[in-house]
Amino acid sequence: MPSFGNNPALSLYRNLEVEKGDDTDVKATRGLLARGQANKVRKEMDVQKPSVRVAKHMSVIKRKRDEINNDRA
Amino acid sequence: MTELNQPLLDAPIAGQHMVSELGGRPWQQAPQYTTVDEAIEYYLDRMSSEEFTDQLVDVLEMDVPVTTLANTIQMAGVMDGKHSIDVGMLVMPLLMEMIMLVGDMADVKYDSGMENPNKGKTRDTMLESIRTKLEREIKAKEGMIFDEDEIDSEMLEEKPQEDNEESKGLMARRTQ
Repeated sequence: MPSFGNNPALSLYRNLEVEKGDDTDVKATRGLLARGQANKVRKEMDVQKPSVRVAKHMSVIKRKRDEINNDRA
Repeated sequence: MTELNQPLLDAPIAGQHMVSELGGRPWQQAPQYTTVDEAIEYYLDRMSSEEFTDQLVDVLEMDVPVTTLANTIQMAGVMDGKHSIDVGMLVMPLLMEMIMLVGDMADVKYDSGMENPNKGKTRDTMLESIRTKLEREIKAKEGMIFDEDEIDSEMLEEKPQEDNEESKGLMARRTQ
């Protein structure tokens, strides 16, 4: 199947693999009015950056894909 | 790359962009979804519908690469005025992952489009470099070869060596 012109999808996908980073667990805050920890963790995870947000979504879907493939194997 | 050699009959006519007034097309309007999250939600909703997945599986079975599909889907989103090109570029890897998930769930062997299509093929540049190297080697060897007439004349000029001297050593071979 020929490629139609210059497709940026491949390089974008590979770049986002770098952005993904390690999976970190977000610990639940103690009280309803408690603040700070979640924001702190979010800052550490760089979730404000859109590319990181997409990468996190991607990692969830990828994990699901791996599960499907492992079950099949 | 055979398609590049064919004439582009469906290409836009020169000046076609000036036919409609500015803002008359969806992509010239402000995008409907301005953030990555909104765009992701839009695509996840769309892609989880049964109609879409059925069509997607059919296309994947036709060996259309995932990269091409993702690019087409996001481009259609831009053309419909759903999101900007920037958001489309950010969302594209997620679209790829979603398409691959649909393919895996349907147990389809799809082409991810991430392998180099030219892998294993002989590169034109490599052939050219080998050709130049060979040419250089041939030229270098040509310079080393002497003319035969020149060699003959040199041989005639040389005086034959006389081997009349008797060997004197103990281990020397005897001459009769």
